[in-house]
Amino acid sequence: MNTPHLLLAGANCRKILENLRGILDAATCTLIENEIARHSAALFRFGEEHFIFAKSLSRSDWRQKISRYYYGAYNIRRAVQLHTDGIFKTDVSDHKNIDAFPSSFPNSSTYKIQLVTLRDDRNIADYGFDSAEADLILSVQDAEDLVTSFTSDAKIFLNSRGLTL
Amino acid sequence: MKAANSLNLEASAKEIVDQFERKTRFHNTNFEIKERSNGDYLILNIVSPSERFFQVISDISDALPESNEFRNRVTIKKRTHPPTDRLSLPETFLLKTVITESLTVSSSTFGTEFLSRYIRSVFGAEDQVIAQSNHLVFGRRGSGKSSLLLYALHNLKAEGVPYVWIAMQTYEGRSDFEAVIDIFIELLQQILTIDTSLTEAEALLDQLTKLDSSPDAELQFDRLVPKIRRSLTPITQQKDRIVVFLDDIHVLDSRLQPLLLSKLYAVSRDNRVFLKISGIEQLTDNWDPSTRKGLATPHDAQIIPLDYNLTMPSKSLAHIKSILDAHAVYSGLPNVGYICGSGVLERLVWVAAGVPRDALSIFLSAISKSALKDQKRVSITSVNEAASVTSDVKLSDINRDASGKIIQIKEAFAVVRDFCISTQKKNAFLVEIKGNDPAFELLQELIALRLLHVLHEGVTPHEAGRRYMALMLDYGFYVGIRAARSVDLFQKEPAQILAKDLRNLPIFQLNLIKTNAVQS
Repeated sequence: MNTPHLLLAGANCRKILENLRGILDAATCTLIENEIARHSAALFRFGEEHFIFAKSLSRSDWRQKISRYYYGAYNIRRAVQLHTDGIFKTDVSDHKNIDAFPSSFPNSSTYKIQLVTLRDDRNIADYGFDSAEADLILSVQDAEDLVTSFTSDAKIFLNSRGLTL
Repeated sequence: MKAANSLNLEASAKEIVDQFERKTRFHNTNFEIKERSNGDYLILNIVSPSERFFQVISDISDALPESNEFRNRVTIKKRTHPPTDRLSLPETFLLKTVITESLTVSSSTFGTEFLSRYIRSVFGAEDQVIAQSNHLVFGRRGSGKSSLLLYALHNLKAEGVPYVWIAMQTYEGRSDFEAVIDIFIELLQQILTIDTSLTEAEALLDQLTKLDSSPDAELQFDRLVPKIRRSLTPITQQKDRIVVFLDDIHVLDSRLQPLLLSKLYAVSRDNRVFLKISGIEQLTDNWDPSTRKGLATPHDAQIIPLDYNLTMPSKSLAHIKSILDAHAVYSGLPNVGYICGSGVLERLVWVAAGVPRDALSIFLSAISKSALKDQKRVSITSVNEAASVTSDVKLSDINRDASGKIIQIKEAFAVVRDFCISTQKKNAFLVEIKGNDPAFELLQELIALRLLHVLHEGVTPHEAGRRYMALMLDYGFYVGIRAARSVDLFQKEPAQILAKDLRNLPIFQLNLIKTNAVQS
């Protein structure tokens, strides 16, 4: 991602847009709006790619499956956050925000708790060299079910906000 | 050191589980502590965890002190190997609590969760009841009248529209005009809690209180009606409208009902005040044609019928199942079928004759009966036994609901029961529709009391022009009883009722009900 880029213009592109509305004409604001939508959709698709890849892996590749399921959910969560709140982050600490949802997101408490657990499981899968599959809190199937329903709810939520996916 | 750590883990887990149980009312929550390299995890196991449980655990987790070992390390999982004895699950115990609470509906039922837990009626009565017009909600005891009024009330709350809720049970059996005054006093008292600055309403409240013991109270009251009407205008102008709920008007003496309604209508008409009234149709006199007082339908108020008896059994099954499913999901079960044996729900709807509260009550009792017999799920036998116990409650409702004809109703019921069980040995029969016949009116009251149930509103089995109603004696009076095993049952489960089945039913002659019983 190189300058010039909307997502590099500041920490929150929605705040930027709101504060420029008094200066820019409606057509220009729509251009920015469309750009936010385009990047949100791209992030969503990026998450879906991780998810599809995770599903295609062999049952025995539990580490890779858990890791990719997590990244699938993480990027879809980023898409939701970018579209609703204008927040886009690239630093590693953003993983701590896996449970950051707008309050109107469907089943938000379920995802808040379960995605934090999936993140912990992903740490076991990626870094726990002496861990076994039995150490997971969510089984591989649980993770697949979780990310499947999360993707579906996110799609409905974003569609309801006018984002075509 | 390890022992100390273990103690700390136990204390941390206990802190969370205790809070979880307080907030969800679960008991004996199944949980485990999973040890692993990047920190231990607390896992609560629930048969079917829903968003409600995650919301609770999320709130608890957010408020945990730093010292708790499971801060941000607690989750809920689907219980993978629940015991085969499903009636001993904590989820089932919670379901029993939830059903018990739902049996008595009041303005505080389900608190803030009411709308999210409410199950819509079969024919979309909700869309009607929230409309800005007067309504009479009719149905038998337990058919969901109060719940429907509460649905409207909670929608008004969400909209910020003021309302008055009057539980008519307080005025049970009253026939004196002072009861009308008392009801208006209650109405104005509630209005004054909405807006304390209504000086005219406050003054009227004083005047009404003084009227209470006056001999010409009605005349004096009528003089106050225009003022009462005017006193409500400031609120309706500011908040758009006021909705007045009268729950269970039928408990008021039938002679006073049209009079009360006429006074309320005088205050409300063209004044942005709407009336929502519930009652048992056969016991409600909303309009007195001789005095032309009351609420006439459909001009002054529209009727919302809630009770279709057994005329549409498949719809009743779907409705009752959805109510029980909602309670089951709230309790952490996937659906109510999870704790039921085959055919239980179908039998339940049939023995409850499609009345939701009777179904809930019978089901609650059936869970306990099955558990006592060490059955792993609720059985049809337990449903039958529970139904026969419920019949005693229905008989006692005669004293509570019957409109001053207790002896005649009891005698009429004894005649019908004898006809079905001893004479015909069939639980269903036909009776000719004779609207003005006092014996037919008594049968209508037996229907209102849920001792008889309508299978069909009007069939013409033999000669044209003579219409018959198909009725079924309540199951509770013969199922589960050894002596009545010889009774031939008309269907055992909700299914489409065919005309040919009805035509073969025995005909009950109204003159079997003693004339003197009718006239006494």
